[in-house]
Amino acid sequence: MSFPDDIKRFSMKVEARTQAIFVGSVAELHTAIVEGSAITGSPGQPVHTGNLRGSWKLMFESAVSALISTAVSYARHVEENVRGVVFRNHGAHSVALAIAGWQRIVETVAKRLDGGR
Amino acid sequence: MIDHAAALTALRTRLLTVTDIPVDRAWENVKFRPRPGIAFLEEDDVPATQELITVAAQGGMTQETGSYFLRWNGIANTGHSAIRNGVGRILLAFAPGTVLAVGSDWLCIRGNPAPKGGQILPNPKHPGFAACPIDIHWWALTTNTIAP
Repeated sequence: MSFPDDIKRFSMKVEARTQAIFVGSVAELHTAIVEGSAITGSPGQPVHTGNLRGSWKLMFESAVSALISTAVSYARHVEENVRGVVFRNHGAHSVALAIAGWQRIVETVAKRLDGGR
Repeated sequence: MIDHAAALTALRTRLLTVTDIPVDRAWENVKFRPRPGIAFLEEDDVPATQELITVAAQGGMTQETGSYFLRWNGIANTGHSAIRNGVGRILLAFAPGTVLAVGSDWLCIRGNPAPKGGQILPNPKHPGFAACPIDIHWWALTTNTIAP
């Protein structure tokens, strides 16, 4: 047991925790966009046929990069609440609200990892 | 909790200080039909989150967030300048850190994320118009009062 060993152990712990926060936060962001979230206030994707909701994909490109995307052409109309779009449930602006709530997402995920302390 | 009706009024009042914005406006929950060839502005008021940030509940402090989404609908196929310049004027009026009085409370325009304009794209519901979205996010600190 030496000081360099202690530092090395601490560094590994920090790295693991940072990675866990990143993965958890991105997953929470995806949830906020698709299903809605009390953390960000985003309403989630409206559901009619399920096509839009089911189209949102989360992909981890690397240890520090993730991509959340949809290929549905009318996703933007829903996101921006273009007049005339009918919402049967949930609502608009989920992406913008989820992004605006990113800091709250990270804080919440970090607290969960700390056991709520 | 902030008075959200008053908050929307404060945001609109600020918006109306901007020069040369479209005269036709689709206000929240007000029936509107765009006139052909006349630019118009749409708004969406979205209260988002509220969190008690003090230990004490009664008389404590809550932090609230909300968003004010606008859409500048300019005339299609007329280039970007009129729309982009108009959006720019609105963004200047809602610069990060701008504080708006809301009764005895206030709200502050956020800097992260800061207000932004988006891409100009054809409006699918109103042919003849091209829309540019504007996202404005705010936060506020208010006193928490528990009703008897």
